[in-house]
Amino acid sequence: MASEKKVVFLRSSDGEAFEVSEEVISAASVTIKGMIDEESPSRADTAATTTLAIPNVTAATLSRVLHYVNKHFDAAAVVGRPDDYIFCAPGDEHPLARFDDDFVDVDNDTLIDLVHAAEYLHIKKLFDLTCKAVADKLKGRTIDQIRETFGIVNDYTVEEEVEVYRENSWAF
Amino acid sequence: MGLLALQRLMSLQRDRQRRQRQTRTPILNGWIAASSLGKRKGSSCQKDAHGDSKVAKRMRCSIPALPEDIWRHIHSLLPLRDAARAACLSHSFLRSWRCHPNLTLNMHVLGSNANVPRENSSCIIDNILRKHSGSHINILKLQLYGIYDSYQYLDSWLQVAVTPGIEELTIEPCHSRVKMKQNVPCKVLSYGVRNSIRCLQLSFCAFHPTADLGLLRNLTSLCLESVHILDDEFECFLSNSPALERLDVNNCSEIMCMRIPCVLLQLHCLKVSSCLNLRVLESKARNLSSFILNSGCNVKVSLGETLQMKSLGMRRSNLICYARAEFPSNLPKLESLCISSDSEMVDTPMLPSKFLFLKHLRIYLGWAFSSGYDFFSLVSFLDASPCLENLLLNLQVSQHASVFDGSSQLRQMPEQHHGCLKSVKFIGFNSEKSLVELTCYILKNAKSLGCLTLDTTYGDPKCDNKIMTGGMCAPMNKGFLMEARRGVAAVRTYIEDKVPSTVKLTVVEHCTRCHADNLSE
Repeated sequence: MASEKKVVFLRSSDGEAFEVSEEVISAASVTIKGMIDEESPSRADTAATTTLAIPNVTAATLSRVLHYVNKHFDAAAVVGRPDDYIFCAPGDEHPLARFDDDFVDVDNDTLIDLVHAAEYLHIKKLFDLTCKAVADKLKGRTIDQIRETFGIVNDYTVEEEVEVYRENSWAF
Repeated sequence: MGLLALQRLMSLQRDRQRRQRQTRTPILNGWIAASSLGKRKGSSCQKDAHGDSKVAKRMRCSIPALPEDIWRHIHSLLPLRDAARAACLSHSFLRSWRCHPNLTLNMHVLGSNANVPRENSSCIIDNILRKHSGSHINILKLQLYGIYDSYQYLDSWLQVAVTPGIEELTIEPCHSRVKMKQNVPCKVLSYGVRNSIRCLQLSFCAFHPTADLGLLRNLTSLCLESVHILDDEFECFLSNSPALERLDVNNCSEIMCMRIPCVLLQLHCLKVSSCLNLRVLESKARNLSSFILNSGCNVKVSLGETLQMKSLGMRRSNLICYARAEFPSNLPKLESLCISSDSEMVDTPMLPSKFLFLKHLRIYLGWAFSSGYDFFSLVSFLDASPCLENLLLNLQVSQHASVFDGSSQLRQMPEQHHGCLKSVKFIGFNSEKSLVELTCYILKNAKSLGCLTLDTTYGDPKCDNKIMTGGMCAPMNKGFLMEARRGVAAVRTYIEDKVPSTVKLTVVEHCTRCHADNLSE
């Protein structure tokens, strides 16, 4: 098999290391690509693999992110595994649409962690996907439900609140 | 007494201010306060605590927090009603709502609340736009159909809301109660707006750009629908839009002579439909790859350079024969061709020229189509198109010589190989002999054919599609219905037994429930 593929290790904030193909993660994450580029002069002549610290992302989140990255950015995986295509409905535009739907079908805490990770690692596709998922969770909810779900504090005075409700009453 | 009341009031206010300070303090960091301690499970608190960044610190042992700019981005993804409602969440969300970058304002968005009388729509729009003034509106769609008093306000709304930085602008004034089409003033397109705007769509209005308008450097898409605009104004506007890629002109009946200037080097898609008074269409744009003209049959068309053309749709008399004879050399890269003809003087000739890249062919034959046309002569297109994958033939044609009349045998052609043809659909299939011959020819020679659909109706959705039809099939006149029946009979007699096992044959018949009365007569 292709044994020449370079790998890097990513160490999560809670100390767990994850292996990932350098090519794949560089294509996915602007942040990590920058880190690898910075590292590369120092390791040019050594065979040692690099370990990069990702201090903002926990192991639980990082493993999810890498799952996503391997699905979306590993060309070999996308082309080589036809079962992904078998499972998509005929109308699906993107063969990974269903994977994406399942991927963000998680509890709010996990979803918010993923938004953070996607932003920090600068993975635009994942950032767009997770923000869209949060937006979908806001849709059609009442104000109280949203406040409770996302812990948003009402900082209006009574007068302000009356005024803002009046201004947007058409939307209720 | 008065003093006591005053003291009491002041103490109440102090209490309240203190309460507000308490709740507000945590918000200074972002949008989320650490108020619901313990909501998040212990494990997640621990794992977050390992981080040492600001974000992680803020999140420590709290409910998940997102910084204001991310919330703002998420807020901007919400549909308008949800976004407006979210403004009631907190000050931050109100600020974010005030600069919601995408405003699509129409009756459906504003009026679906039964509590809001329709007359209020103008007030709501006015309020939204004024509260948004000074913020950067990226996409503005003012679709004012049904909002009858909106014509009084349109000018001032455009003044307030169309500001530099806008990228997409749709203006559709209310058109039913005002006789004159409302004018969209050119001054809307100020210098800054002209520099940023990418998509402009005007509907049901008058638009009279002048020569001194100036360049619209980034305008890539222009759509005019039922717009009162004159020939020279139109040409002048195009000359000022050198980045234009897509142009769609629909039902602009004042345009008689449409000239597309040569500066439009990026223009690749041109669509002109229902411009009833159009007589001349002259394009000097050199890179057109898609051209659709559906504007009566008497338009004199000159397209200049057409070597890049990949997709073409046109309607006129004798077009089938003309297309077969002229297009292979004039449009050598054609991939998709849609031709509509009301009459053909001659059958389609067999010719040596080829459509080397043609994949999709659609042919529409109108009601007035000359009877006696030999459909079997369409084999000429199959013969000329080695890459053809899809063929659609839509005929609303009276039958001339049924396969059941007379005794002459079905004609055959020497065997050909059409290795790419996958899908063939005939709409308005009847028992016309030459049509049956064409079908048999395709079944015999298209070895890769996967599906053949023979629809003996008009091809409209049927009554089982309640949303599209309201539960009723489209009415069919008796003559057509009789021919449809004979069409089905022709399939049973002449075609069914020739269908190889690899081909999925679908025969669409009229619905016996909706058309039962007609048939029993």
